[in-house]
Amino acid sequence: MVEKRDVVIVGGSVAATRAAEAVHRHAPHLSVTMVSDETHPPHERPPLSKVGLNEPLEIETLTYPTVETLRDGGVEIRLGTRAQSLDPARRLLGTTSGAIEYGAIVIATGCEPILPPQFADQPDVFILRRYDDAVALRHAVADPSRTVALVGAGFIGGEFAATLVKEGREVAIIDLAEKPLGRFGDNVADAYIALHRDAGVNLHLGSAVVGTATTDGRRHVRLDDGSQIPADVIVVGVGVRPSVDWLAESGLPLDNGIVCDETLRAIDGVFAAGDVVRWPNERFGASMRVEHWTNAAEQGRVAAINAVASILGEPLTVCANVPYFWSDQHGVRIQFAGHRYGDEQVLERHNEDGKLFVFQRGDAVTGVLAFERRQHFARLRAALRNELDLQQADSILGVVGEGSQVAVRS
Amino acid sequence: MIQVMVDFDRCDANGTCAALMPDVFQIKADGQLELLNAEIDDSREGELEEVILCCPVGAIAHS
Repeated sequence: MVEKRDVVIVGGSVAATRAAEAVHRHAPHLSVTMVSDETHPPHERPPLSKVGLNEPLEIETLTYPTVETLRDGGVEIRLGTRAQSLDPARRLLGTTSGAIEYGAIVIATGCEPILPPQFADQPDVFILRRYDDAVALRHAVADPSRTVALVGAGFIGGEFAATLVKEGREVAIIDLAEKPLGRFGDNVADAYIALHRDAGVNLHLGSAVVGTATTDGRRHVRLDDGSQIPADVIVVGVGVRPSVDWLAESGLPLDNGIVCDETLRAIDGVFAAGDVVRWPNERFGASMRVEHWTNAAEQGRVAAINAVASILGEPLTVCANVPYFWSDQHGVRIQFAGHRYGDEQVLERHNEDGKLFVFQRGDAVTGVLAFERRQHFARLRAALRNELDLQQADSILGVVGEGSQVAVRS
Repeated sequence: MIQVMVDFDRCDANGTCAALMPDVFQIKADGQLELLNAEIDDSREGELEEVILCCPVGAIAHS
């Protein structure tokens, strides 16, 4: 016998949790089941790469307080259950604990980290995606004599490097690219490189890992320039890919994610949220997929509101948000808001408080990236919700005339 | 009217609230958060809901 639910949510992270909250809030009379392959209840993930080595990392503390509210409100959170198949015509989700028929479904299965084959099956190699990864990694690096190599200079690598350096540990970052965060342009990359160099991180950029070698129980990573990097522990953060393999037979449009419309709808009755979605964002006139926390939270809410609306026959809401991320590294907060098309001019609006890069495309400001400069950044981020030109942006920054000295408004 | 509450012990000054409702929340020159309006009109319930759900540290609540 097939179970029936009004709304089924697939996933156990922030997008799924926010989706459950939104359904519970907007339509408490609807039955809701969350299906998550994790064994832990939904919890915060940003701390997994951010919390200091000597600070506690308890699942009880990380668990979203709302989990209890949802359970009390009748939302079923089915853990340790993996979604296996979807039949949109019959509105049927297949899982490892049986099939569920739904009125509407929100898919928030996120992404999974890529582990290059050369690191597969090696001991003490970690990716950092789940709570258990973080616990195991912290255990592996607890002995201060163990050396750590981070493969990938993105935010996972950068944040964990900063965490280690704070404890006085030797740490190396290796990346194939000469310019980390290169999609934001060379000057942003140079600022990011300087931040890590100044903090004492050993950077090996433009370097490929060609293999590993273990001598007397100590492992090294060999690079293509012949150098050997001590690497008792290896942390790999080289990117992720959407978790959509289970949808291969579903007929859903898949193209580097689930392809949705502007309301996060894939097809009738099927909505998606978070890292797994590719959707046309009307604010930026571009199709995008965003792998960041705030987008997942926003989309979880919108997808759920639309799932409810589809059941009740109400109009759908458009998701036209301003993508955003933040990362705290070596005491510096790096933030970006907007969309990177790839053909913008990068303008610099630095002052003594930090660096601020403005991305301009034609007359439009389409993004801003800042190292610190929190007040200016927050104002520009708010302004980016609407069309913004350089004059308006500079007025927010207190810049008088292009290229002139930056004067901060009191 | 809706009462807006910020748990400043949890607040990390991420500024998502200040981006979504800049007339209610603001990041000050020192980088910290300031609550500009502790009361908002009932018509803005949906906006505040988005802010509450999008705060990375869950520091915002309402009456």
